Amino acid sequence: MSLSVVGHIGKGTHTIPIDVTVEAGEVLGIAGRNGVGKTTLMETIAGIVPLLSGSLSFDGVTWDDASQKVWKSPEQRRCAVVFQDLRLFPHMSVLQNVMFGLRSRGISKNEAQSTARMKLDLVSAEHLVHRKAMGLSGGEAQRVALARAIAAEPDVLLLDEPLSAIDAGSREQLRSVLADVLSAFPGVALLVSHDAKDLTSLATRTLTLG
Amino acid sequence: MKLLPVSDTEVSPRILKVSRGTADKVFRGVVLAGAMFSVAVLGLICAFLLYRGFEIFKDFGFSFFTSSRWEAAADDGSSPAHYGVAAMLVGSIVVATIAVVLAVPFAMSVALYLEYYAPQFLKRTLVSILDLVASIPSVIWGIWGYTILMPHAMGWSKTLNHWLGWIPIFKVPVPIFERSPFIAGTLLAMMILPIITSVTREVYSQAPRDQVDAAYGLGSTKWGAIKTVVLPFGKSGLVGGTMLGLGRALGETIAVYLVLNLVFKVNFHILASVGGNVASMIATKFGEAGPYELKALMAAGLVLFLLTLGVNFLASAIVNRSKKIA
Repeated sequence: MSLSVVGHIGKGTHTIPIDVTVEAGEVLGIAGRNGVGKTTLMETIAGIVPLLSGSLSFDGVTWDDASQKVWKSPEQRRCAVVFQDLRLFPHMSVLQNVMFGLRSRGISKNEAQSTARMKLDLVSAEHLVHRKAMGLSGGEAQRVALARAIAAEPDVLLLDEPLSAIDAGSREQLRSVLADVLSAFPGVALLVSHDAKDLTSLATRTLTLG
Repeated sequence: MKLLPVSDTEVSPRILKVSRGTADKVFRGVVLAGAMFSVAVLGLICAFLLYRGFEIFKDFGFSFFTSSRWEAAADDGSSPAHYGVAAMLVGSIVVATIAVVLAVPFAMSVALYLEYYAPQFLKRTLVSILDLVASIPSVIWGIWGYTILMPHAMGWSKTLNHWLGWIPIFKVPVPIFERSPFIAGTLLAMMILPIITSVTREVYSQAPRDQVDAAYGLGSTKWGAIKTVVLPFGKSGLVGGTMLGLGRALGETIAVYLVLNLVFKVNFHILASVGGNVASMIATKFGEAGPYELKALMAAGLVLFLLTLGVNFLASAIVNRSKKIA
C-alpha cells in the first residue's frame, strides 16, 4: 500500500513540481518556507484541490490524473486531514465532531459513537465529549481535531502543522500522544511542520518543498 | 519586571468622551434623520389607521377580532352594522401559511442548486430569470393564476381531497374546488419563491469555505458538507427570507382577490371555495363603503399592519437567536 504523487500542484498561477511516494507505515515529514505549497499538497491528496498535471494514486488506484481526466471525489479517497487551523465544526459537540468522518462513511450511529469515544480516550480528551467545539481551549481543540481525523479510520492521514497552535507545555504532551498514534497507524501519514523537533521525533523521513 | 497591585476602582470601565469633526457630525445627523424618518413614517401610518378606525374598536371591542360578520347597516335602519375580521384574519394566515409551506422547500432546493451544483452559465441565467420573476406585477400573477393555474390546481385539489380527504383540512363540505385557499396559497407560493430563494442563496454563498473543506477533508460527500456546514450556517438567512415572503403573502391583495372566493366565514378546509384575506377584503369593499364601513376597513387595515409588523419582529428575533446559536 503506497501513495504516489507525480506532477504539479498549485492554486491559480503558482505551481509546484512534486514527485513523491510514501509507503504504508511511513510518516513523511514535509518542510519548507511559508507559501511553498505544503498545505496545497495536503488538500490535493484529500481531493479538495485538483492536481494541475500528472497523477496521484493510492494502492494502485488512480485518484487524480489531469491528462486522463480521472478524479475521485473526497468521499472516494480514504483520507482524513488535521487542518492547521483545526476547523472543528463549532455548532457541534466534541462527540459529534469526532463521529463526523465515521458517519460520512455510513457507519451506524451507535458504532460511530463508541469508536469516537475510544479515539477521544486515546488522545486523553474523553472528558470533553459533551462540550461544544466552540468553547474549547487551543490544546483541547487540537486533541479533538486529532481524534476526529484518526476516528475516520483513514488509509491516508494528513497532518498539517498539528502542533502549531498550542503552548510549549501542551505541545510536548501532545507530541507524545501523536507519536503513539502514528506508531500504531497502519496507513500512509504525511506531517507538515516548521518545527525540526516535530519532524525528527515523528517523521520517518523528511521532504523539503521549494 | 515588577507587577504593581491594582485596586478594583482602577479597573472600572472608562467612559470615553469623543470629540467628533464637523463632517462626522453632519454625516451622523444625516443617517440619524434617515433612520428616524422610516420610524416616523411607520408610526404615522399606525397613528392614522388607529385614529380613523378607533370608533370601530370602541363600538365592537374584542368582538371585532372574534366575529366573522361584516354587514353594513340596513338603509331603513332595521338592522345595525356589524363588523368583524376573524374570517379574513384566519384566511390571511391560512393562505400565507400554505404559500410558505409550499415555497420554502422549493426555495431551499433552488438556492442550494444554484450555489453548489449549477454550472456557472446556468447559474447566471437562472438568477436573471428569478430576478425577472420577482418583478412581475401582482395583477399579472392574478390573471395568470385565474386563467392558467386554477384549472390545473382544481385537479390537484380533487386528487388531494380524494386521497387525503380523511384529514380535516383536506375535507370539502361542498365539492366545489375553484377559488380556494389552496389555489390562492399555491399562487402566492410562486410569487414569494424568488424573494426567499434570493435571500437564502445569498446566505448560503457566504457559508465558511474552510468548514466545507474540513468536511471534505474527512471524507464527506457534497451533500454531507452542505448538511453539516451550509444548512446550519444559513438557517437564519432562510428564516429571514421566509419571513419576508410571509410578510408579502399576508399583505398580497389583487392576486388573492382574483383567485379566492370572498366569504365571511372562518374556514380551515383549504380545498373549499371559501376564504378571503384582509387585504383583498379591503380592496373589494373600499369602493362601495359608506363612512362607517370605511372606518371598519381602516381598523381592519390596522390589524393587518400590526400582524405584518409582528411577523417582521418575530423574524428579527428568530434570526438574532439563530445567529447567537450559530
